[in-house]
Amino acid sequence: MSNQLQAVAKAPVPIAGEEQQELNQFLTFHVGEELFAIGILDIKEIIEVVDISPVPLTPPFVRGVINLRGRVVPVIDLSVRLDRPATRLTKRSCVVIVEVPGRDGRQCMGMLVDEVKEVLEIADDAMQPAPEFGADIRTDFIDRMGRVDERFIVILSIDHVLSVEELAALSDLQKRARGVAA
Amino acid sequence: MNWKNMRIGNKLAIGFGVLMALIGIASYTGLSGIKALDEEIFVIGEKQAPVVDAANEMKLALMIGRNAMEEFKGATAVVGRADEEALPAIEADFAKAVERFDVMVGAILEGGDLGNGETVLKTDDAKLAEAVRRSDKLHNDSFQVAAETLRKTGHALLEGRREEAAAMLAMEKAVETVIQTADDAETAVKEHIAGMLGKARTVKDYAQLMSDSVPLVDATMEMKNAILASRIELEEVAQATQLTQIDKNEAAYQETIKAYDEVVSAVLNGGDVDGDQVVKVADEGLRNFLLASDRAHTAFQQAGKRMFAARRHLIEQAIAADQAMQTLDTAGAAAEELLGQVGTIANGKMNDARKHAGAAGELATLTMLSIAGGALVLGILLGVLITRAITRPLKRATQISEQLAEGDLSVQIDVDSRDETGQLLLAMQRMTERLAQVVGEVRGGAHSLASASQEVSATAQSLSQSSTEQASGVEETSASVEQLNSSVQQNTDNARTTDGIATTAAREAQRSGEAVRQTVDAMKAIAAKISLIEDIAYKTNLLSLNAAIEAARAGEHGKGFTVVAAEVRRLAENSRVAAQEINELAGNSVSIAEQAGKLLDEMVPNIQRTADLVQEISAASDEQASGVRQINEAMGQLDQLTQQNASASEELAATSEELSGQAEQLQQTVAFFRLGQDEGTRATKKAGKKPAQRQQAAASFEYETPPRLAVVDGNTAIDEKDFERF
Repeated sequence: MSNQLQAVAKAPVPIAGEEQQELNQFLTFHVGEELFAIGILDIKEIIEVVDISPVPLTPPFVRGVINLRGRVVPVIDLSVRLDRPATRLTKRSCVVIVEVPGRDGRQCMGMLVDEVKEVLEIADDAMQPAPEFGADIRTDFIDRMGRVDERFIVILSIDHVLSVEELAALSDLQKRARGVAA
Repeated sequence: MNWKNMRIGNKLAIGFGVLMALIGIASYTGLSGIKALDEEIFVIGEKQAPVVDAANEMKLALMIGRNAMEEFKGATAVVGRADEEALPAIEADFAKAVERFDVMVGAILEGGDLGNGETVLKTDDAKLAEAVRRSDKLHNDSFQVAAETLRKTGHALLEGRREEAAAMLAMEKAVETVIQTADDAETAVKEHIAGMLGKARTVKDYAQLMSDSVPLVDATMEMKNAILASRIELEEVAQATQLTQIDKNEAAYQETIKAYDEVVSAVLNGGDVDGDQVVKVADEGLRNFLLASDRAHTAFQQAGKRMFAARRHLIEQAIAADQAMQTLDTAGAAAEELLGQVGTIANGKMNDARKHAGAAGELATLTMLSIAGGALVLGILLGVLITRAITRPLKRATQISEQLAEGDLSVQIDVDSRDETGQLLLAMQRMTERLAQVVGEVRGGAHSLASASQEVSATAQSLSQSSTEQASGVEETSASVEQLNSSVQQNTDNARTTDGIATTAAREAQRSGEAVRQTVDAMKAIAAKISLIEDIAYKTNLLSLNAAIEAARAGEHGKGFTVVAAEVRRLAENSRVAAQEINELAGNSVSIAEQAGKLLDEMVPNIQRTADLVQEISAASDEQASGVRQINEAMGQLDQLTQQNASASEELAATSEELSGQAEQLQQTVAFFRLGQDEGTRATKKAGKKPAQRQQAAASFEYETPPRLAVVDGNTAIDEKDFERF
């Protein structure tokens, strides 16, 4: 099965310009009891939870780093990042690898979620902007709200969830990790 | 209390007391007599006899001393017997005798040991002591002094003897010298004369010579003769024992000396010898010879004088010794006589003591004999009295006992004394009365026994009948119990079977529970496997998602792939749902199976308990069966006992008949005793007299008459009534 996963991961990298055409495809997943979604084009791949090495002197939402085919990838505990209790690892726990803009261009990061659900297609007319209030989370984390079967799913803004300040800390961490690797 | 009423013990005590007192007096008298005798014997044996012995010893000592001194004197005083070596032994003997004498004196006067194991007590008789003291004084002052004198003179005699011997030797030497010189002078004269003869040429010369020389030769001859005569006198003196003889010899000796001197002076100076004229010797050599002879003669004279002096001294000493000996004898005799007195006194005392002892012995014998006579008479008297006091009542008791043996209980006993025999008679009186009473009771009892035994016989027969009835009843009961036993046995068997079934059921229920548990386990395993399938489904879903992502990234090119991914995802979803359903179903089955298991688990102990209860029922049934068996046995025993009872009651009937026979025999036997009161046969004479007497006796000894006496004496109807009630 892991071979299959790897085979999927080795699929050809999509062209950046084509992202606009497919904005309406989203991956839904559970964090705790809540269902969230992110744009499918932000995602590089989904992997099962492997050994996460904890890193000292990092904020609590940084769960640690993993080895993704020889690269050091930091893992953010999304539950902690959204001000929820720390994620308990189960068989269904997954790490969603995403690409975010960093100092040195695109940067790979992992998001620890409780369970991935499915890939949904949400039409643009079913989209609503983020509400001004009433949400339990930081509103700048919310990109939009997608309506699916008479219920709204929070579509997270990856750039905000994994914000610049955190990225600075993450780049430090990366440097340190490189220093260690060197 | 008079003699008759006195107890035998007291009588014996008085008799033996008097006899013992008499024996005591006799013993005292005898003892005092023996003491007196002992005292006298002590006087004889311990006091006087040793004194007599000591006196005799002293006499012996005196005699030994005297003999020793006589021996001493003999050894020294008699001239010509030298026995000097014996002197020290003799003196030692004397000293020993003196010492012995002194020891004796000390022993008698002060008391002490005689040295031969005999002990002398200090004498208490003044006369005796005085005599001993006087003899001691004599012994000390005269006897021992005389002995000392004797000893001294003896030693002087010895000295004198030695002196005399020396004088004799000197004298003999002097004599030899004198004779030698005289011979020399004679030879010289003869040679001179021969010389002269040779020179004489004429007859005249010869004649002259002859007339001159013959007297000269004669004179020299005379000189020799005188010397020899002197010597003879001296020899005689040496043998003399009397002073007068010595005086005589000395006179003769002086004569010879004088003769010699005359001859010598005549020869030297010229003179007259026995009427012959002697011419003075003119020749110088001749004169020298003569002068030498004269000088030798002078020495000889001195020796002679010494000889005389020595002999005189010797004889004087001998005389002194004789005198001392005499004194010694006198003193010894006087002392001996005194000692004789001592012996006499001691013997006299001994005789006195013997007389005293005899008198004391006679007195003691007489007293003892008289007391013994008195005791004998008294003893015989007391013996007769005490014997009479014992034998007479005993004889009477024997008579009464014989009468009792004949069965005569009416015997009359008179008691006239209160000592032990009187008490014996009194006890026999009580015994006869009790016997009479008891025999009366026995008679009544025998009569009652006879009638009672007949009653017993009748009762025994009815008892036998009822026993038989009882036996049949018991048999019926026994049959019922047998039935009961069989039903109980069946119960037991059923219970046992039920017990087996219940046990099997319990075991099977347990097995069912086991099976259910296994089922649950299997279900659980299935659920686990299904969760694996679910996982696979999830992973497949994940793969499809990744595929969808890749497809989306691929844009237009990935469109078809997206469809495939969606298809795969749907399949995965389907399998997941199916797995979930199966899982749910399995979970339900598990819970149902678990419930079944739980129910079974609850059932098993119930079944177990049932089995236990059934077992208890079975055990109880067993016990019941054994109980019924025991009842059955008991019934059998009861049956047996009833049979025995029946036979026993028959035996009882027979025995009671025998008993009535025995009772009759007893009546006959008891008839042997004659009671002498209200008996029909013997009630004539003593009937009125005896009960009163008996009452009196009972009163005097505080005797308790049992109340049943009336029953015995009265009719037998009351007795029978009693028996019936019983």
